[in-house]
Amino acid sequence: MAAIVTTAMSAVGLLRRSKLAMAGAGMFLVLLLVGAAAPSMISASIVRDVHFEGKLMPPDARHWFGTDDYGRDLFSMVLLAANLDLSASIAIVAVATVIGVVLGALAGFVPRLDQPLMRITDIFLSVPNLVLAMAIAAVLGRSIGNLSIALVFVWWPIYCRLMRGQVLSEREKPYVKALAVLGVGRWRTIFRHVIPNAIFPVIARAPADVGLVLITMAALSYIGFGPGPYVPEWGSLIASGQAYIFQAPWLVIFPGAAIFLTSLSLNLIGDWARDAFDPRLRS
Amino acid sequence: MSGVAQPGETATLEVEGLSVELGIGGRWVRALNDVNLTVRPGEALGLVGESGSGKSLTALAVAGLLPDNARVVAGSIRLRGEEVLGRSEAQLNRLRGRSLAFIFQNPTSYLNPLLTIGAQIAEVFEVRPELLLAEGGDRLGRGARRELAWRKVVEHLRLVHIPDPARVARQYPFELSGGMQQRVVIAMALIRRPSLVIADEITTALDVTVQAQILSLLAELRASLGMTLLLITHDMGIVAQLADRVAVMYSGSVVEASDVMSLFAEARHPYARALLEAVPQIDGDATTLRAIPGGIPAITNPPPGCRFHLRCARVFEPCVLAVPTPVTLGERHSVACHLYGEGRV
Repeated sequence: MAAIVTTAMSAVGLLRRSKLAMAGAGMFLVLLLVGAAAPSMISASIVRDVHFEGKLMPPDARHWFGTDDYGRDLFSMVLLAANLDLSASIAIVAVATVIGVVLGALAGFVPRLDQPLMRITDIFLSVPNLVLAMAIAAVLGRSIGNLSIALVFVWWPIYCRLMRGQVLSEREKPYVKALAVLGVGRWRTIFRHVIPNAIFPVIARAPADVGLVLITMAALSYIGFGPGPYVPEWGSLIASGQAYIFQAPWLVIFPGAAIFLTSLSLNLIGDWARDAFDPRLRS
Repeated sequence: MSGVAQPGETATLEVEGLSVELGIGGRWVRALNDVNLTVRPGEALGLVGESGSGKSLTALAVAGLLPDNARVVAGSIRLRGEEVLGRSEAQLNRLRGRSLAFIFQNPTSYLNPLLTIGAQIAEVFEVRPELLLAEGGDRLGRGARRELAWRKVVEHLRLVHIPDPARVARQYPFELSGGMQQRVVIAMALIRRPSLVIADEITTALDVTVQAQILSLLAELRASLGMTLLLITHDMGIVAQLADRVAVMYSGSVVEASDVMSLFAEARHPYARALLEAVPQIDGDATTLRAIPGGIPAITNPPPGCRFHLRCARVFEPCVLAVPTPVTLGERHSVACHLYGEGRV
């Protein structure tokens, strides 16, 4: 517990010293708040609110981001999509991290499980990310839930391998030997000493991965594995807007900018997290 | 404390005929050959030898910490009469926890970077609550027991001369210097009142002034607590300062064992002599350091006969032919050299 608190405190200290990380965190916080507030401020019915007479209008005072090919307000669509994209990608990374950490720790601690688990991750990692996600999403059918499941399948092996490697290197460290001489039992050593030390680099990877997952999710729904035109999602907004790219470039620009800003902010946070969770840089 | 023990008394540590092999390049190579050591209660034994002589391997075997590629092929190791070899991990844990403390070479890597100094030392009490029995630890509630443990932690940090121990107990290992970390490790070892403390090259990673402080701390603790010590080092100066007895190891065997005074006065084994001559003399007028020519033989391809004969100044024909067996020269003084075998003394 104490370790987590000091880590958090020194992490905050590091954050305040880095302007870029501050900018990233600020940007992400704004996006997160906007995304969280969006469903309560914008009526969900807007996605079915079709006005063909007012379609493809350029941005103006009434429609800040213009309107799309159904005549819907693009600003509202992008905001609703922020909610969906952010919560989905955070959830995907969270679930993948938990699965990966648990299985990775098992592989690291139980020699009998090591080879089978690692060969399974090999199978997953041998197929390119996008192709594997496409295959799973295609089998499961088009929906944001299925897309998320597909992405969890793609991401957990990365965490599993990372955690296994961490456990293997941590358990060979001298302090573990010292604990053995002290008479500290195996389970206590694992849960109180090895796992807390092993897990930090794994957690440090998560923020940057949220950005990667977000981009992958947008890419997948852009090529048609997304939830369809009536579910606002940044990737599918771009997909439907690209037909009008010369007539109404704002259809592509605004959702694209949203993806860009989100992944930029997450990358900045990711760089900071990598430093913050590195015990050598802690002070 | 003086190392004078009654003959009938159980030795704190008894290593008998210990032979260990290492798996190197797909075959088993002898790394320790028939090692015999005895440490009596209150005694400090210095185990000296150059790198690769097997002194650290011996210590690891005693602590049951041999690496995975090592196996014991013969011998026995007894801690206060209890056999260490052939125990399960759980039994070994219990035995070690009760009777052994190990202070390692590099203190930084032997502390968990995520826990405060106090939390790490206090863990000893969580693993072995019986240590608090004297203070009535069994009758206290959880919170009060923790407080008592914390008090004892601070008290032991003070014992190893850590300034402001209450503050240091709340600090993390990386906030302390190497010398302070080594003191913490020593406090952690002492708090368990172990029968035997193994100190493996504990000052090697420290700079000279800190080394001196740590050594005088150990000498002081030995005098005040009656600590029994197995001191692994390559530094004859440390042996002279701290040890009562000394065992010189060469290429996996103990070549000479005696009390420190007689070894420094009249070492018998040519290797032990050469080692002592290699110690730089601050008041001597020699301008070059004496060294022993050659290097320790590779254990994968040891020479026949006495393993030292290729570097020995007094080599003669039996040395090439047979491994010398230890000969007793006086009370607790033995030497393994053909010069002293079969009535040649």
